[in-house]
Amino acid sequence: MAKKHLFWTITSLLILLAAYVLTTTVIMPVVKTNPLPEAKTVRVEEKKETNAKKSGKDFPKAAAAEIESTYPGKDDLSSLFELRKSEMMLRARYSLSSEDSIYLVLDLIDKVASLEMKGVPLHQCKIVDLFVSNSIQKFHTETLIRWLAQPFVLKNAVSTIARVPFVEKIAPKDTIEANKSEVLPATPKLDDVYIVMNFERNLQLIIQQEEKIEGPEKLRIDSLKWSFKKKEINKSIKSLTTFNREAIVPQIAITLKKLDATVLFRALPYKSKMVLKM
Amino acid sequence: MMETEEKGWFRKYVPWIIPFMICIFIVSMIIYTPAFQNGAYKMKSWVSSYSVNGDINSQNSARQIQLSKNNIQALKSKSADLLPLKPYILINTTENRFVLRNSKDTIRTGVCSTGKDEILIYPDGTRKPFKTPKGMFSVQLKRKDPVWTKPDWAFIEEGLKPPSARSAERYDEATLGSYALNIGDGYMLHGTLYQRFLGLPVTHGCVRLGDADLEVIFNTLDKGAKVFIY
Repeated sequence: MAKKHLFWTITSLLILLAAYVLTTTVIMPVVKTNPLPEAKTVRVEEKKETNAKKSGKDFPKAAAAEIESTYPGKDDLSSLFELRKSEMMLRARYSLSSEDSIYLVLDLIDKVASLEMKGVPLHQCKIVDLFVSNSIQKFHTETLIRWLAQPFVLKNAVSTIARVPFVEKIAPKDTIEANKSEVLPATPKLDDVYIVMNFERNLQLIIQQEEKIEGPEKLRIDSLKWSFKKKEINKSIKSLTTFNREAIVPQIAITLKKLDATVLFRALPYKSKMVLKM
Repeated sequence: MMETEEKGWFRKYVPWIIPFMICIFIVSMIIYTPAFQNGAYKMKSWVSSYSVNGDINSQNSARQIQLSKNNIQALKSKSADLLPLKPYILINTTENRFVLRNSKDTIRTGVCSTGKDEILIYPDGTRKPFKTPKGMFSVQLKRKDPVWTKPDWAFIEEGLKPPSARSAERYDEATLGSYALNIGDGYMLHGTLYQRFLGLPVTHGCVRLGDADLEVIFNTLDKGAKVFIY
């Protein structure tokens, strides 16, 4: 009887644990579009501290002197890290200025998205809202610097607006038909914007509009969002069965005014490049 | 007796298979799902081809900080040198607006008209797109009181048969306004008879400007000045 109780207690606990693990590793990351549950950048001295604790030394007394003499201070390291990030971003931006196409510069610190060409800023707009997937923040410092060191090249893009909204017109047969078909030009209507841009090195940039979307456009955009979510869920489920998850897709989602989003998307070429400042 | 012993073994061990399987499930999740792995996992393949000099964890951080600061300063000054010294113009084809700038300030802003993004299908099936090209151009020729040599599409669009190349019908003295700045490939910044359409995408690829704006632009931009269209 006691054994039976023990069995069911252990089984229930394990089921609960399994449910918790499933929720934290698969369900929540998909719901929150964060592939990793928690973001934290491990700094060098934290690693040193952990190592000292593991080796049984009394930290900080035993290791403090060593750290002080051989390692720079926390402020030094973080300022060096920030400086290296800025340097790499400027390097990437400068390298793009030698090319002949328009590129995008996303400054996630000052929340500014700008189009540039040959080092000349063409169009700048404020990022109204911003979401950075925590997998990016969790990258080890040096890895993040390396990741940002080169411009990101656009692989493909899915959007609700056309890059060039061409309209076809058949030439009139004669002047009478030409006069009949003449219509006064009107201000073009701007379609609602939802853009998903997939860059090399696995980065996904989502551009959405600040203005509220209503009507059939909302349905169209929602179905597009759902199709991406479905893909992520499938990936997560597949990873459980095959024990082989595809590379994490870090995601950056920015919200811009509809007009700015349209200007940005239409100005960028098909194989456009982007520099990130973060 | 033997049978009872066997049954006892079965009852004793088989029910534990369930928690054992759950344990395996949990362990496999811990090992294989990304949440429990380093955030940099699978990042190495993306970054292996890129090299960054030095190591952020190295001990001489003060020297590295100074070096980094110097590099940033140098890069900033190099980037600042990229801005054109002479006045230049930015043309936004989505908003149909222009900004005339020099290296420091904005000289003038206003509305313009750019390409109508239309494809004209000729009676013989030829497709002629009307769009303003994007990118960097430079002023190649400045003309006062320009005369427009009408191309074939100007006739076909009106339901007319294009005349011969040197026909007098091809020359139009009024349409381009008072000034024209050629930026290459047959595209121009010029004036218009249809001032009421400024701010709308109505052109065949050229950039149309209002009379007052065009005069300022003509007098400000020299030959070779940069024209950025986006």
